[in-house]
Amino acid sequence: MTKATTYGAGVATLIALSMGLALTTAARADYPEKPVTMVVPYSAGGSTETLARVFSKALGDELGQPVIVKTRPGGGGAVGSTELAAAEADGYTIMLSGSDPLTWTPLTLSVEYAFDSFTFVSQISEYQQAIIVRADSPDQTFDDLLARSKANPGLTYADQNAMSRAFIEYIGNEEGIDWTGVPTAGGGEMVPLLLAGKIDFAWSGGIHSRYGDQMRVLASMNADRLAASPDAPSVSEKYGIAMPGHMLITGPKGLPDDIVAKLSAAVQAATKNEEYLGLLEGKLLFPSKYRGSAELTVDMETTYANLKKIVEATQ
Amino acid sequence: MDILSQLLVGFHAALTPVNILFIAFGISLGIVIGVIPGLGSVTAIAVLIPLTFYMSPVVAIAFLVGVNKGGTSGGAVPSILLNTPGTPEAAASAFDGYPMSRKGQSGKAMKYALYSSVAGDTLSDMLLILLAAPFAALALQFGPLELTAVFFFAFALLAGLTSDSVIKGLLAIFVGVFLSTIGLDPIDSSPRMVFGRVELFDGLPLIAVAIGGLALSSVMFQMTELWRHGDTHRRHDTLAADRAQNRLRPAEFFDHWRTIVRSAAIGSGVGMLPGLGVTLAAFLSYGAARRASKNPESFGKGNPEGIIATEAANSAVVGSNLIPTIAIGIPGNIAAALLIGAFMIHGIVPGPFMLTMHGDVIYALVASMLIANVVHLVIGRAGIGIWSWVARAPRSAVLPPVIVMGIAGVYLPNQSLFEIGIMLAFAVLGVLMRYTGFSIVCLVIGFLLGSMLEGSLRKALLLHRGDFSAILSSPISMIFFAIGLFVLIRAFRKS
Amino acid sequence: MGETPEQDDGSDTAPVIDLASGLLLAGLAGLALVWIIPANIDADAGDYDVSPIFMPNLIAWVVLALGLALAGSAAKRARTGWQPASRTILFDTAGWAVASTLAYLALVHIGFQVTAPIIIAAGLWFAGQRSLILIAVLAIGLPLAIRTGAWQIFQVALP
Repeated sequence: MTKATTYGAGVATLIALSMGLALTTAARADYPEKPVTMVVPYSAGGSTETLARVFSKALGDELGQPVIVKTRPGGGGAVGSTELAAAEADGYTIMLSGSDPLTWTPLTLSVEYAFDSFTFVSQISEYQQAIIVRADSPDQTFDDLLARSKANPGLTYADQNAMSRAFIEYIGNEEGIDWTGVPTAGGGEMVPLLLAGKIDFAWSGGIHSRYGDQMRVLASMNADRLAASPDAPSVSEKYGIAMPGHMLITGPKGLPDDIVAKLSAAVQAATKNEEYLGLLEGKLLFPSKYRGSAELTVDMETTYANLKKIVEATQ
Repeated sequence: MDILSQLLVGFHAALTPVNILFIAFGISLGIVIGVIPGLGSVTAIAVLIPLTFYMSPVVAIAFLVGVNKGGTSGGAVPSILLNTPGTPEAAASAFDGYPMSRKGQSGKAMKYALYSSVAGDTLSDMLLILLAAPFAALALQFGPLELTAVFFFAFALLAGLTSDSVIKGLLAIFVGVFLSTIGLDPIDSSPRMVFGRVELFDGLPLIAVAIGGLALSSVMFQMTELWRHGDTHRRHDTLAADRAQNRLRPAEFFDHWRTIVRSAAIGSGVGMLPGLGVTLAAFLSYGAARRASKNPESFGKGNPEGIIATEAANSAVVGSNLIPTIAIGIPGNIAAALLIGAFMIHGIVPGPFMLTMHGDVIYALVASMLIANVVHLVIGRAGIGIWSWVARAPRSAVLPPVIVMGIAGVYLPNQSLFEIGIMLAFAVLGVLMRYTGFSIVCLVIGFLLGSMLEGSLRKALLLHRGDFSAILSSPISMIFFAIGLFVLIRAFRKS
Repeated sequence: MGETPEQDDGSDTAPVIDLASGLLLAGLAGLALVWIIPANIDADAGDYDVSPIFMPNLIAWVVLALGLALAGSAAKRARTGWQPASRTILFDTAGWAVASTLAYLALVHIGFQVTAPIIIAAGLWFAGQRSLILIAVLAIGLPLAIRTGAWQIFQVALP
């Protein structure tokens, strides 16, 4: 080739390269350019999935692109989490879920992902986890339950997953009480057992709020007391443990910062949406609780560290 | 206000053109979805919920309930015409529906299916209206111990359905039960034979197993027969003969009132108890009908009672699974769980306060359900005309597309290629079993019942701390254990 | 259940097949008992519970027993007359197994768009259809319709 053509080829390549660079950064600046998929790792019909449908509309309006809910149930959230961890970190696949598939599951089951396979984008709410009893139970406070359990060994309770079971077992160990846990596959299975008086108390992930006076909250399993039951102590006050209750949006590991920022901003704006708040706070009685990525990530890391202790103590 | 006047108000609210239009649309959509193997009411409802955002609560839920009704009855169409159930709960309709179809009575069989569906549905809707509260209270009494007794009874009843070779039938059932143990242990969540695959944590997927084993294997089997022997089905020549053979007068239908009522009762009962499911209701009803019949050997050869039993029961579940939903906010099965989600989106929180806070909506809904049954009859009847016409197409043209539709249908709910793989595997297994004289239906039943029985048995042990005398304090469990034992002994005596 | 000509009621099967089935099932059950189950299931039991390994073990034993019983009764029948069994069973099943495996792999690696038309066309041909027009219409039209329906109605992208 002549010098001129080599030179020309070089310039052309340079131009092409810089255009390419400009286009990619322009593409990222224009995120999102196509619909975003929001994975929900639970079955359709549950509170989270229902909420996700409403939230996805609000989020879609903020982002300017539709957000499509994709239910991927299985393994208590593990199947959906596996899929998220394997997805491209381009912001077009995110997940709305609780935090236990991301923290508890990798600690206790052999799955293809780990706690650090994810980028925590935002928290939007908190499951109102509690220990509950029927309204006509003799226990008015958590201490009543403890005292009665010590006096009458063999009380039964219902848990809804391995994590809730482990936490209650931990408490039992601390207090020297031997409760018998009956596993249930979710709130829908727990409620009839409790209402019919077949079990003495139960763990609830928030479904108790629909039963008003028929159920009584004895203790909050979250780090703080529940807003709707301020008189019930939180287990963190008594035992220094807390069950992670975040409802959060997650992306795969390595999600670029600017996309995280854009997403978080959109999520924050979406949490102010009236229809969403009407369902969340008005009907499900969950609090709206937004936290950005940095704060959330620190919290998740602390949670994970604490969960490790529980796992070691009970598994 | 008493029930009647509230109901009248409900009818007033429900008899609007928009409402009826959407009910009709929902039922039609549901039927089409039910016809496609792999797709069922559950997927349909899950997908259509967001579409109902902009509708009023009554219309939205009436629409979804319509889809549920259509979906449950649509599955019988391919069952009857092609021996390929569109939904697992319609599988037993094929046993007698297909032979009837072979005799040129496909229209009649489909009419039996439709009328039974509507009848069963209506009966359970009435139950919902009149007896929701007391029945919900009764349903609450069914804890793990009682459910174990029910499953034991179901097992005994269905084990008695094995074909003449009892050993092979039992083998099929027990292999099915074994397969149901794959997954995370229901009590302590430890993995059981999952081989590290996260998709197996919840066990083998039921739809994939059922549709693969029952529907796809039938398609494969038939295609092989076509390849070997060509189409041996006679096409009936004269339209007149077709018409006469396919007529079903109401009188003839209602002749079977005992079976209709019994099946509706079984369906309603099963539907009311959370967690049991439509498929179990259908098979139990079939089993009970065969047992109660004066000539049980005629079942499986074209006895319409087989169709009646299956379709009345599976449709009865639709109405009755709203009983626990409305009374205590707990879904009777997956479809009801979805409807709960729909309720929530439309601002109605399921639970004990539903009736007091949203009574008008609930009564309008109930009225809509009754209206929907009429609409169902009309649309279904028209549909039969269409399906009969389609049935004239040669099987060689219809069957291969069914495979592809089945694949798409199973993929749609969870978008899992793993489930497709399972479906294909069970299809091949089904073919092998057909050739070697084992009943794939028994395997599916064993699979269905196995995990439920083990789960409730172990929970009952935990709940009562291993104390077997708890059985004595539960009249319900004593009754079911006793009936189950009785059925088993009778079956043993017979063979 | 169901005695259409397509469905064997189980008691007319050639003895050799029953013998083979019985032995095969018993063998698989035995394999499960000594290897698969212990290797893959925890044996710890909680209080008042049976261990996770209880049910699978129990079932495997039952299958083992029934399988041997089947083989035994088949052997007895065989004494009274040794009916040759048709080899086609193996061929047919193997054939479908191969076809299914290929279809699955194709779905995974190539996707629905290409695999579905092939399945339809091959299936139609196999079942005896010879009208090229029909084959073309169905093989191209149906997957297209399914794809459109899946996306528009269900918002699902087929693989």
